[in-house]
Amino acid sequence: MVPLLLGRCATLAPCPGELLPVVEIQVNNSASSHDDYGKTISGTPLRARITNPLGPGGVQNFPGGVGVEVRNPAPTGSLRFANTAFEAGALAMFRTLPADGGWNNFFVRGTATNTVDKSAIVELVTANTCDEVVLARKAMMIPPDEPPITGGNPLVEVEINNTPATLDDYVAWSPMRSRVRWSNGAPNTVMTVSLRNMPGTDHLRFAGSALAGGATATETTLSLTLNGNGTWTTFHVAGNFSSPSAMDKDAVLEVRQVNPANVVLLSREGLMVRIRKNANTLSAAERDRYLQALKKAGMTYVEYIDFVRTHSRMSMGVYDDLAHRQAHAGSGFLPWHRAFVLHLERVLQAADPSVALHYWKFDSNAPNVFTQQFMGANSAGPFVLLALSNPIKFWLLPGEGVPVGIQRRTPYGTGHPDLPTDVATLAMGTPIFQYLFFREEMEGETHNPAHALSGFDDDGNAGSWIAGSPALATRDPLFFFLHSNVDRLWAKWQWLHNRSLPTHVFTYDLQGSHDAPAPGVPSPDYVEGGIFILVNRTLGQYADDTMWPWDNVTGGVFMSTAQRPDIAILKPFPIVLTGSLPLLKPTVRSMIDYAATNAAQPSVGLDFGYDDFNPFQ
Amino acid sequence: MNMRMIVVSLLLTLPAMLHAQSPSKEALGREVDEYRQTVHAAAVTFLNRQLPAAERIRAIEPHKVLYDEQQVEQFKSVVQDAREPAEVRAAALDRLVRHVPGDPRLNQLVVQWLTDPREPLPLRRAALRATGILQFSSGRAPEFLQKLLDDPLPQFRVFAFTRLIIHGDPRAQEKLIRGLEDPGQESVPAPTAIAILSMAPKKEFYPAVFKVLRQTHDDATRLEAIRAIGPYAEARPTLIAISRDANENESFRETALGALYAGDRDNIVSYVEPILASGNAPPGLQAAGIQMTIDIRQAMAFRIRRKRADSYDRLVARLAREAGDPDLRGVARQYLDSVRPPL
Repeated sequence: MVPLLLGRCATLAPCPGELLPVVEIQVNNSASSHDDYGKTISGTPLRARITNPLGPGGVQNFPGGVGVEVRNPAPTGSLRFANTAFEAGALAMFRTLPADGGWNNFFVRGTATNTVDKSAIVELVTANTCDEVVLARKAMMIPPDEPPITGGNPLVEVEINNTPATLDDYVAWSPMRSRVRWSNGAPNTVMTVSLRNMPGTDHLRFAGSALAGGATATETTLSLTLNGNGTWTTFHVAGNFSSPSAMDKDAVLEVRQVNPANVVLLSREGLMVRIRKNANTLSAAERDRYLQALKKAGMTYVEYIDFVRTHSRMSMGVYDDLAHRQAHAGSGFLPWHRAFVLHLERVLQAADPSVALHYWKFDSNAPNVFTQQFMGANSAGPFVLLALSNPIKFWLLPGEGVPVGIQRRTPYGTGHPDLPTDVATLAMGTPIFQYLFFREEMEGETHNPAHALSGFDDDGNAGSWIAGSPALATRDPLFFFLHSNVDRLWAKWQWLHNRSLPTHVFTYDLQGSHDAPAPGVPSPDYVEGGIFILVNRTLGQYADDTMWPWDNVTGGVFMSTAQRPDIAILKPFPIVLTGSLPLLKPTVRSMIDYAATNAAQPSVGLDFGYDDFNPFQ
Repeated sequence: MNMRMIVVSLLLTLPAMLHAQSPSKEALGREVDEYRQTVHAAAVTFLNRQLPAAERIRAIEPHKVLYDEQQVEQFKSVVQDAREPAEVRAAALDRLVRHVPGDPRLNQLVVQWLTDPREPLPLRRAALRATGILQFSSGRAPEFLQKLLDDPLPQFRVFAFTRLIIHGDPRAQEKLIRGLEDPGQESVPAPTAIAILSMAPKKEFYPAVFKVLRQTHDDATRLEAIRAIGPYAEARPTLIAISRDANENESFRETALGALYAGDRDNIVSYVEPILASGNAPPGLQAAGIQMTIDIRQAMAFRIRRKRADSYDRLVARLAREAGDPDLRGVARQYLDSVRPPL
């Protein structure tokens, strides 16, 4: 994993072209989480600061400071925030974090107590005229009586992903490099500690610093020796495949002292094992968090429309062949859509970091997906029924000139289209499971029918966006569940048939670049008769090519294999604190080994995983 | 790919193949291998012309993909064999859709079955499914769909109109609009026609739909017309009137409010406020209006700029306290929690 270069990180910026302020929050003014406990009778000190205040040459990254709102993640949470310890406090308050990286101080108190540690969460979001982005979430607890960790113990600090920020405290199945230190020890002393899950939870797995590339953390406990001189000790943490998180901060890492003879609880750190799940199996809370994030991206901040305007078109509703070819009917189909889906997932996570882009397993019944509370139930007319309580009840596509709602009437109600099963798709690419054949069969026999058969039937359905054409399909938010499933099937095929080594021609056929294909790899198409491009070997399809729209390469010689659409809306690609991949201008190759199972060093890869297989098993 | 490349690739992939595999992965691998054999055996049964048609179809029914190129060719022969029962030929075509564009004979048969009303219905339906799948990926509407606009079967007409209009075909759009203006020339029912037209890239249908909205007495048609007309500025006063008219059915009023939201999102509060202020609007309509305003007003850019609550905030705050309907009270509270007006 490439360490984050503070001050140079470009992630999902609060305003176009800006850096993301990387924010640290401390409870009781200490970096150790031993005292992350509050009260109901009075306020507990909280403070926050920017950890990347300076850019190259010592220039301030955020002149004037960073305006934030401090609040509960859910509007009706039980924490209250105030300027002093004895005020009743408010559900939310605006603050400005100093431009020089200094602390901004305030207080938090609970209106109710918690029975589970780390179940009260303080959230900081950007507060400016641009789209709202979550900057930090700090887990704490308002205990009913004595806190679980008492004072006077050795103090330890834990940093997930080696940063004090909390925005990177989200793991999938790949190992996250992290560290722990004894901050109040004496020189030349050592202390043995044990890392484990908080009793009652089992979401995390651990490994020491010597984890090999391509392996992940698998231990339920890990013993580490900490130096009294305050130096950091490295470990790795990953999700336990059999127990992904259901909510933010429910994966609690516990540090216990096991030397000398007594065992003392020293610290607890709240994380999340954030995994893409079968949408049909989500809890009501997971479903609603997803819909709330979608509502913000769709209707409040109008970001979703950029995805609609990018997929297979350049203008309002009009199919565009050049745009279509960047993403379909060629080798780039799967990597391009992996990036497209991941881009939306990161937009949703800017609204709520606990959200993942779940999938519609379209070869199985999904009665919990096609309801009025979720993606909509069939109506007698062309638009789905959505409950008033559904956050996307009034799904809106500003500027599209289409009605409010989702135009979809599935021929199968709550069932599923007549499609190849998972196993039937995993058997594609035969006889020796080559990507070249898998992509063609998967796109033509699984993906295309998944769209088309979801929209029309023998009874004269008036057409659904999802089935209408690639230029309309993204209007329906079901598109992203469908494509998350397509991506899951590719990922599972890669795992099953050992096809994740990005440089291998069976993993991806068009090795090299458009301008310099690898030896033995076919050259870009030629234009025959001035009209036809044969099998879509164009710029953006070769492994080392960057992809439109994220690379912002537009135009070009008419009808050449390097010609691109004239505009690129979605750019650059949002990278996150957990790694530098897939870069601002992702290449095809950067999308292939998404879990970093072939990495020379342990890595989080692209920072996502699926709930039905473990790529490290 | 030439033989040399395959050999080199096999050598390169060997180390990955020798990796120790977990039992679950091995089990899934076995399942995949067995599945291919199952499909192969089912295809053999299907291709056995000595067996009854129903037994052949039953054998292949669960399997949508063929993995054996030789069997693909044999299925093509079944599709082309006029002596085979129509149901059998249709089942074969269902498994060959991906191969249609690359096979002129198959392509020709699909077009023929689709466009000729005299062909047996099972073949026409299989051709319709195949064309639907192929049309999704092609992104174009071929000329032969024009023939379907006058097909005797409504589902074929609807399919053709939808595909053509999505891709901006002016003839299909004109024909549907003519049908709206003159019910005697109607190709598909008016509500369906409006829903299809609303998918057109160019919105030339607005005047015709607006006319329908003012003239029709059919509830389903009127509802679709209200829904579709939102972005048409000339219709806005009519939509405002419907949304506020106490004599209108609630579903029409809510749809009109949704249409205003679609066409003039930034001013949605000005459309909702009179409805809340009227004091007699159905609770469901009031709640729907408040939901729309939450979408807009919870934006940080709006919240950070405002210094004081406005009349709309106070109206919603009153409903949060006093509304008799619990759902309406709940939505009003949700507004206060999400928008946080400085009351």
